[in-house]
Amino acid sequence: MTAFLVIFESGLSLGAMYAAASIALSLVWGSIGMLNMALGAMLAIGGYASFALVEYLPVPWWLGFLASLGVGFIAGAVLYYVTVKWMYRVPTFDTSIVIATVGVAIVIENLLVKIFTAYAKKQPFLVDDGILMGSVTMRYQSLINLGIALVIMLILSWYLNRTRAGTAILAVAQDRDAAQLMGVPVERIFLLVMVIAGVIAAASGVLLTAVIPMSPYVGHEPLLKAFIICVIAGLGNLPAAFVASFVLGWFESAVSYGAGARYGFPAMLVLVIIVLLWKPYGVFGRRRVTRV
Amino acid sequence: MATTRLEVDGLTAGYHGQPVLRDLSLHVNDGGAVGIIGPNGHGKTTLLRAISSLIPIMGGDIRLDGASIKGVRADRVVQQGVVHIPQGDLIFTELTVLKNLTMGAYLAPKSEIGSRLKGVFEIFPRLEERQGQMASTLSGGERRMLALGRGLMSAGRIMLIDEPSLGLAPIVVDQIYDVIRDLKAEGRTILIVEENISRIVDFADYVYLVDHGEFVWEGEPDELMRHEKILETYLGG
Ligand SMILES: Nc1ncnc2c1ncn2[C@@H]1O[C@H](COP(=O)(O)OP(=O)(O)OP(=O)(O)O)[C@@H](O)[C@H]1O
Ligand SMILES: [Mg+2]
Repeated sequence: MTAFLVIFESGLSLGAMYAAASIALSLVWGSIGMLNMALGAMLAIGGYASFALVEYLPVPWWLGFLASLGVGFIAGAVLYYVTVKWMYRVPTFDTSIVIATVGVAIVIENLLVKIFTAYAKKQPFLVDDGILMGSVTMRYQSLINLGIALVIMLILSWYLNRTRAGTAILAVAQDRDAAQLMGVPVERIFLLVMVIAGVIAAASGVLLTAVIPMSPYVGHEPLLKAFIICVIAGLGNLPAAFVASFVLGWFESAVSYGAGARYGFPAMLVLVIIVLLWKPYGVFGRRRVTRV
Repeated sequence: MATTRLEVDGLTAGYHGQPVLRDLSLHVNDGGAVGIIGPNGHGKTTLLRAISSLIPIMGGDIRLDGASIKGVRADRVVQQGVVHIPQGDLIFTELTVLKNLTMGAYLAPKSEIGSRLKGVFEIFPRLEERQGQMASTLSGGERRMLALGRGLMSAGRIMLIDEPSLGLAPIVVDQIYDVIRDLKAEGRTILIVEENISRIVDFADYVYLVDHGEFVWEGEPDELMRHEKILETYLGG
């Protein structure tokens, strides 16, 4: 029973952390057809933005969090203007955007090293307490992370399903040409998608660095894991990415608990290979569709 | 004298730098119905895609009401009143029928959407019955109705219609052509690609025959029917 609770608690916490990053990756992938390798760097930007404001200004933690969303918004827009805008018409966009965003990520990470040094920092507002469940503590921070991930998912679903611009995003994701024939300006929609993803990535970065030490490279592992989650969930399938985040969080926790922490990630890779052999487009997948 | 709504002037266009269409010229008068015929894969769809700015123009020009749309973004061309109902329908399969239709009115003021929906549902009651259904689950005929209905949601005056009868039972084709005929009667300007020769002869007032990306014949439909050699060579008798 204790084992179950330990795995449940840490898996939930991991899942919440992965969920926001996976949604940001999946949304961009599904609607623009872009594997955003700069997502890890965008997580770091979010983490450092909130850190810098709360630590140096100082502002209260919640204001730091909100301001980091604004910084994420700008980061998303900048990434759009630096890469997507110039590249989306190129026939080799799929691959060239990977290289371009890797380049952007390197630049961002080096800037962060210059400004904040490479030493690990601590987000100033980790909530240490928790609720005791039997012999296991459910950390408040895990619950906060879970809550924020849920809110992000709900707002995004509402936006995509209930607003005109959201429907246009789905239309562009499903058939870019047809959407253009309806009068949808695809470049504007791409920009919109990038800023939404930027905001979500920043939120995810703050959540992440509330739990683990923050360095300019803090987003690398979450990016890889978000990538695995999106592949398993199927490209652009947002609810599936959300659910898969928790499933993989629990899977990773179970493996870590049973076999040791260092087997968690390799086990995930084995899992993804098995899933891809079984279903090449992911468990819930189809080719490049954004669904909510 | 009739005014020219749409003019294609010496158009060269294609994909990845390879021209599919070479030096093509045509015009459609206000309220006119012009048909394009020709064998598979010879550039009919490419012509409509160039007019909608989905692909760039490599040479020549395209004018709407005398103004060039060369290099104009596709959504701006739609704004100027061009409605393109694409071949293979290109509906949004993961959206409901209703959302597909409202996407058709993307540029329209919100207040107009209700009345336009009503109009489309009057023409295609089937779409009203199925408005909550995912478009991916529609039958072939229903998809075509949806593509046409979605086009009608934008009140554009220049319609580009690509092979509306393809793959449909004659009775459904009859219904679809009734709708298209009504559009013409309303005074809309229509450029239509059609492989079904008898349909086009019935409907169009002028016809262009495309072969290997060039127009090899043009004229009135009844002239075409007298042209046995052309009918035999291009259209299998
Ligand atoms: N996206 C594309 N990339 C490269 N070549 C293309 C593309 N689309 C069409 N083509 C080529 O352009 C040529 C003309 O195609 P198009 O679709 O215009 O023909 P069509 O006359 O409409 O044929 P059909 O009657 O079968 O619809 C064909 O050789 C086709 O293979
Ligand atoms: Mg065609």
